[in-house]
Amino acid sequence: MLEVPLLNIRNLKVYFPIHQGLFRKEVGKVRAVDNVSFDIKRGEVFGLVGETASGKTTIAKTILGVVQPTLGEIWFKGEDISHFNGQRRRKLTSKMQMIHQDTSSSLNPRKKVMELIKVALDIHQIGTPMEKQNEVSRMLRYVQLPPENFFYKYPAALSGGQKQRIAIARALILKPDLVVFDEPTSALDVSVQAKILNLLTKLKKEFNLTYLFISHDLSVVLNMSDRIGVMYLGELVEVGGSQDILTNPMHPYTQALISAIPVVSKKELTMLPKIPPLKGEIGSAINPPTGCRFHPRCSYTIERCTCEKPNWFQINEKHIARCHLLKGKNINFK
Amino acid sequence: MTFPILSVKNLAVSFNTFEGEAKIIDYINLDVGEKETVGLVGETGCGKSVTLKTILGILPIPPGKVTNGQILFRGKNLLTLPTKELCKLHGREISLIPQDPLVSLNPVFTVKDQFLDLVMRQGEEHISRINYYKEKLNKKKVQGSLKKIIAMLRKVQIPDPERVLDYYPYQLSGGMAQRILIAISLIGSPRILLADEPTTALDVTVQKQIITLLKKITEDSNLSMLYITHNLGVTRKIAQRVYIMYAGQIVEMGKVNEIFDEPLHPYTSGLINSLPKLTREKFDGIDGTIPDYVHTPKGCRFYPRCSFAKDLCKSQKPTMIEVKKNHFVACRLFHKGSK
Amino acid sequence: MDKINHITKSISRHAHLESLFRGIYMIRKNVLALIGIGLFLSLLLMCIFAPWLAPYPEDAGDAIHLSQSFKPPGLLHICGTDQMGRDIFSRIMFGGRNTLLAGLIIPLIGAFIGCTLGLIAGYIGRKTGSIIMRITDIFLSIPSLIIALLVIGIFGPSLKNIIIALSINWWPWYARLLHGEVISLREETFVEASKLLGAKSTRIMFSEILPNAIPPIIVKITLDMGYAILSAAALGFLGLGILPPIPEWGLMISQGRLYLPRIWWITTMPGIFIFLAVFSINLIGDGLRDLFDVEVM
Repeated sequence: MLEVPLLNIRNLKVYFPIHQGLFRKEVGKVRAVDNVSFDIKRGEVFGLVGETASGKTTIAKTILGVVQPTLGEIWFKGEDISHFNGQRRRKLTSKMQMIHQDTSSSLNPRKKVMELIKVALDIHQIGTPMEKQNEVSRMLRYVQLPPENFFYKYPAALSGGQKQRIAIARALILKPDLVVFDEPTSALDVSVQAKILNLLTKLKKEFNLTYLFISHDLSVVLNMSDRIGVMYLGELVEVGGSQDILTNPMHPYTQALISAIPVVSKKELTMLPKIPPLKGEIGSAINPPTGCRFHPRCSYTIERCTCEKPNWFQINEKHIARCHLLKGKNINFK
Repeated sequence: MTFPILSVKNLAVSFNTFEGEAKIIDYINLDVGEKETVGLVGETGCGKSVTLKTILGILPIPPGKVTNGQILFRGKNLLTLPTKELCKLHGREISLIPQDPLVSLNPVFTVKDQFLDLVMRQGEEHISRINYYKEKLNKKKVQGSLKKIIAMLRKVQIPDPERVLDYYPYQLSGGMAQRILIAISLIGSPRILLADEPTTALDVTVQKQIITLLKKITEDSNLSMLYITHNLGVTRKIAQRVYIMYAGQIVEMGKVNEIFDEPLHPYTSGLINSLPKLTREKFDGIDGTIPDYVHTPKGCRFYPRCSFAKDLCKSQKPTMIEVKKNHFVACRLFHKGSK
Repeated sequence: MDKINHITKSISRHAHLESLFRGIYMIRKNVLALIGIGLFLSLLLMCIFAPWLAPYPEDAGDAIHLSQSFKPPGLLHICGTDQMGRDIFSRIMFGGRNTLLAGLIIPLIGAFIGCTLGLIAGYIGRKTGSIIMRITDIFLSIPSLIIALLVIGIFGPSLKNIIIALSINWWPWYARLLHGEVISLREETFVEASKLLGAKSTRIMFSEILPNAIPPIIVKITLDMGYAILSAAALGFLGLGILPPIPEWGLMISQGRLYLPRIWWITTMPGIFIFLAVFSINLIGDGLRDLFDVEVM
C-alpha cells in the first residue's frame, strides 16, 4: 500500500550568496540546507529538531515560499511547488500555513485582534462580512479565547500565550492541510507552553491537520511528534519514530542532544545516555567541516569521517541514520 | 547549615505605577550558604529579576522602592551601605553573570579592553581621566593584567585565549561569549556568583558545557552561587537547594532532589506537571495568570489558580512551615490541623 | 445566528465608545495640546467668520481712508491702521484665510504626493525604487526659492500658485521619510505573515505597512503646517505671492517694513498672528505624537 505523502522534500539545497565589496562580488555561500530529503504523511506530526545553524528554520521558509531553493524539489499534494511564486504561490496559502517563532512581531501592532484574523478570509474572499465575523468568533472560541473580551484588543495588550493563540486562530481559519510551527512555544513560560501544546494536539484532531513541528527543545518535540528528523549544520543526520529515537539513538549527535536535555524527574535521569558534554562549538555554515559536518565534535571520529560524507543506513522500517560507524549494521539506504 | 554568606531577610519591594503601588516582592527570605549553589526558580513576572536587581543595588529607585527588609552579605546590609563600600564589593566579592551574552558585552570594545578596565581599576568608585590614561600607558601593569586575564580565559576553557583577546563581541559565538562573561565575573576572585539565567540564550549542547563548567569552577574555588532561572531541569543539574518563587513570594524551599521528586506546593507540582517529559506522559499546564500586583489578594497569591484551594486560602496568607527536614512550604494544606 | 450578530454588534459599539473615551482622556491629560487646539481653533474661526466678525470688513479690499492712516493701536482699531487707513485687525482676519489655507493645504498635498511615491519606492525597491528616489533627490537639491520663482514666474503670482510651488518644494521630504520607514517595515515579521496568508502587494502596502508608517508622517504634517505658513508669508513678503490689495500676513509684514520703527504696528501685528498660528500648531503636533505612542500601548 503506497500512500502519497502530503509533503515530500527531495535533495533540498538552500545556499545564500554572500556579497562583499564595492561591486557586490560574491565571496562565498552560506550553505544553510544541504541535500535534505524527508517526507511527511497526511495526519502525522513530523518534528524537526536541531540547534543554531541547523537549517530547520530555513527549511520551513523554503517550504512556504519565503525563500527560494537553490536545488531540489518540494512536492506538496502531488505537485512540485519549489518554484511556485506569484499567483500560484498565493493559491497555496490556503493549504499551508506557518506559525512564526517571534509571535509578537508576526501580529501587526496597529490592528485589532478581529482584523488580524479576519484578513485571512478577506484575502481569499470567503464569506460575507457577517459570516466572516462569525467565523472569527468561532475560531477564537476554538483557541479558548472568549471573543467578547478579545475582538477589539490590540496585540500590545495581550500576553505571550494569548498572542500565540491569535496566531494559531489566524493560521487555522483557512483550514490548511499542513501547518508549519517554527519554535511555537520557545518564548513561553512552562505552564503556558503546556496549554498551548495541548491545544495544538486537540486542534489537530479536530481539523484533521498535518504538522511540521520545528523546535530546539527535544522534550517538546518528542512529546508532540510521531516521527522526528534531527538536523546538524544544514544536514539531516537521523530520522525515525519518536520512541525509537529516544530509546535507540544511532547518530552520535542525536545521543549528545538527548543527553543534554535538562530533565527534572529521577526517572528521566535514568533514561539519558551518559556521555560527557560535546567539545567545541557548532561550526559555521559558510565553511562547514569537510566530510561529515559533525566530525570535529564527535568522540568517535575515524579517518573516513573527515573526507567522506556518510551514507544513510536503515535501522528499521522508519528509522534511518547517517554515520560511517553504522556500516556493517544494515542495508545501505538512499 | 553554616552561616549564610548571603541572606535576604523579609525583603519587600514595591513599584509606583500608573495604576497604583505594585507590591512586587512580598517579604521573601532567602539564604545562600558558603560553597553552596542555590537555585531561584520562577516563571516570567514572578519577581526574580527584581530580587536580583535589589541585591545588586541596581533597582531603579524612583519607580521602585524597598519597603522592608535587609540584604546581608557576610553580615553587612547591602541596602544601607554607602556607595563607596558597595563599589568595593561589586565585581570583587559579589559578581554577576548576566543573561544573553551577546547583549551583555559592549559591542564596540574588544575582549581585551573589556577585561583590562576591570582588572586594573576594579573596586574604585571614581577615576579621574588623567589617571585612567596614565594607567593604560603603564606597560608593566598592563602586561601583568593580561597574564591574569589569559589565565582566567584558559580556566573557562577558551581555546587559544591570546587570539580571542582581540575579537569583538560580534565575532564570538554564544558559548564563547558566555564563557567570557563567566571569566569576567571570576576575575575579581568573588565569594558569591549571581547567575542571571546564563544559559537561556544558548543551544542545549552548549548549555550542558557551560553548566558543567560552572559546576567545576564553583567546586574548585569553593564559591557560592545563586542561580536564577525558569528552567527546572538546569536547576536540578546545578543547584543543591532551590527556592520556588511565585508572584513575589517564596512558596517552597528545599533540597533540589526532594522538591522535584516530591513537590509539596500545588504550584511546584503544577510546574513539574507542565513539563513535557521523556516518559511521554501527559502534561497539563496551570490555568490562569499571575495576579495583579497592584490589587494583591489578601490571602495566598496562588489561590485563583490552585486546584486544592479552600476558602481559608482566600483570606489568610500561608506562612512558611518546615514540613520535612529542611523542606519548607508556604501552603495552608500543610498547616497543622488542616487536611 | 442572530444572537451572535447582536452580541458582536454590541461588543463593537462598546469598544468604539471605549476607544473614544480613552482618546479624549489622553488629550485631556495633555494640557499643552489642549491650549494649542484652543488657540488654533480660535484663529481658524476668527478667519472663517471674518465677513461677520471683522469691525471694518471693507478694509480688506481696496478701500482707502487716507484720513485714518497710521493710527496706532487703540480702542477703535485694535491693531491700528495702515498707510491706506485700513483697519489692520480686519485685514488680519481676512488675510488669515489665505495664509492659513496655504499653511494647511501645502503639507497635505506634499504628504499625499510624497507618501505615495515613497511607499511605492520603498516597497517595490530595485530599479523603480531607485529611479523614484533619485528624482526625489533632484527635487531636494533645487533650492526652494528657485522653484517658487520658477512657478510664480511662469504662472504668475496668486494664492493657488504659491500652494503649487510650495507643494512641489515639500513632497520630497515626505517621500524620503516614508521611504525610510517602509524599507525597515517591509522586513517585519507581520509583513511576512501577511504574504504567507496570500496578500497581494497593494494590500500589504496600504493595509499593513502604511498604518505603521503613518504616525511620524502625521506629526510631521502638523509641524510642517507651521513652516508652510511661514513659507507662504515669506513668499508674500518677497512679493512673489498674492498681490496687494488682497491681505495676506506675509505681504502685510512686507508692506509695513517701510514705516519701521516708529510705525511698528503694521508689521508687528500680522507677525504676532503668524507666531500664534505656528506656535499653536506645534503644540498640537507634540500632543499628537504623545497620542500615537499611547495608542500603540
